[in-house]
Amino acid sequence: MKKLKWTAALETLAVPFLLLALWALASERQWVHPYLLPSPLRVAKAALRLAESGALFKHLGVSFQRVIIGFFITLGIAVPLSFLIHSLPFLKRLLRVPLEFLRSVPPISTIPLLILWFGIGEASKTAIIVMASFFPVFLNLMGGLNNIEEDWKELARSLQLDQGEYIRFVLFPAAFPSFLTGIQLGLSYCWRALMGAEMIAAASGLGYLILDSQDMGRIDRVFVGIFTLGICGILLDKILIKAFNCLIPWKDLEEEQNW
Amino acid sequence: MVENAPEVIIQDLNRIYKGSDEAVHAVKDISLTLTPGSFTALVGFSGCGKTTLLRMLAGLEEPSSGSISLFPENSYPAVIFQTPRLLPWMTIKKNMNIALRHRVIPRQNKREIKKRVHAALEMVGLNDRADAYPHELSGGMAQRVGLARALCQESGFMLMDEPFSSLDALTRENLQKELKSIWEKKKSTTLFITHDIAEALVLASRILIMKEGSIIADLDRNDWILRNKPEAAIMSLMNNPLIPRMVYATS
Ligand SMILES: Nc1ncnc2c1ncn2[C@@H]1O[C@H](COP(=O)(O)OP(=O)(O)OP(=O)(O)O)[C@@H](O)[C@H]1O
Ligand SMILES: [Mg+2]
Repeated sequence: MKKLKWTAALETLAVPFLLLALWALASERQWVHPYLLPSPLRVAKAALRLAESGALFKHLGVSFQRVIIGFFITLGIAVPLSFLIHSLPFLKRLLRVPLEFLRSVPPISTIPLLILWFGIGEASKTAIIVMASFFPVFLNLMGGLNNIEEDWKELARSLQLDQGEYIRFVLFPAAFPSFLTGIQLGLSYCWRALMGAEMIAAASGLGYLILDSQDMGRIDRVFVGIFTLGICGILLDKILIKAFNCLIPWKDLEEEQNW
Repeated sequence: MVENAPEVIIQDLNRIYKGSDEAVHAVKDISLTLTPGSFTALVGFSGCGKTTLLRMLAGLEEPSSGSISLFPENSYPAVIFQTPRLLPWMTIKKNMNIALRHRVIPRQNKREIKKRVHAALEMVGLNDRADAYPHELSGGMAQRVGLARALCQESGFMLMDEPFSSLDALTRENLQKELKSIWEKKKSTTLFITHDIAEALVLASRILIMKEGSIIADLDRNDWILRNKPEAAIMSLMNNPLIPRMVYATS
């Protein structure tokens, strides 16, 4: 058993190590100009310095805080709206066109407007995050609610559950796995959108750090920013899946993503 | 609270499914009365319409025509579905608890609920699995929980769709005995679907044989036809090609 685990770990880490080695070789032999491709060591040193000065965590924290705030606003709109539309079909017809329109607009394309309206303060970033995360959450939850099995509805009827009990014991738990999928997708979408927004209209945050480093000619710091994003993404996904598996013990979520 | 066993009167009941190709006449012109406190078994080949009839009685399916009346009107059946239908996101105990929300009055009587759930799980031999999730049970265990969930409701009206179909012979025999003794105490009006003629004979005092949507025979356990080799008699009734048109009359 243990041996198997070791080989599996080796398999997953082999390619990253190989790429790292290749990178080190490329910068050592100067296949690419050192300004464009700093060595891994330089990037590591830059990372250490950014971490020591606290700048890295400050920017990361700012971005993170924006995501959290925006995401809660998304939940506050998307969850009630899903339940309302699920139980009042006329609302679906009423809101169909506006919602489809909004879904087709990439959030980042609204930045010029947002800057005009809100300036480069927090409001514009929050709006971007809400726009980016709303549809994954909303659509997945809607899907979960609409796809509830007929069997469970019948069971609820045969047990005489009233509307509130039906929602609490049957409808919401049935839709819960899709809801979590929506959360997972929504978080990764709004993280991406936020990076765009921070590059265009911000004075802090990880996106700002990356763009600012480029302006200063510190490509090593650009790399630090990108790596931070990638690593945080992986960690966040792992944490979410762990948490989801605790929340829905009846359904084993896939550890691996289906790309 | 023990409900009274209702009388169930079924009149000219029909159910037609308009499927993709051909309409299926699943229940054809069924009229019958279940007397209060009677135990009736419904047997018949797969696809003959047993579940459809039961679902209409449970109010889960609208009849295409005909009527079902209950006296008293407010009787509410406890149903065992053909598949156990345990909510996968709840433990066994929780699954049982929600079945009692509208059965135990006052509703907040936690002690009564606990007592009943415990007793019902004890009866099907699953008390030690009360905190397990449904996916952690075997098929037969899940079926037993389904049975316990229906029994703990202590309804005067029971509708059971093959509740013992995936149990081993020994467990099945034990549960038949339990069910029988519970019924003898409570005398709920019961309709019990089974494929197993022997089981019908053990449990029921009245046996309905269904074929292609109709009741082709309505037998009392004491009928002459069942006096010797009852299983052979029922099989020959079910296999007789003439019978769908010639409803079997018993004295
Ligand atoms: N929802 C449905 N839509 C269309 N046809 C249906 C539906 N439910 C049942 N039927 C048809 O009605 C007929 C009777 O089905 P039913 O489930 O009542 O049979 P059954 O006697 O319970 O069979 P089994 O013993 O296999 O459970 C079948 O021909 C079936 O295909
Ligand atoms: Mg059936």
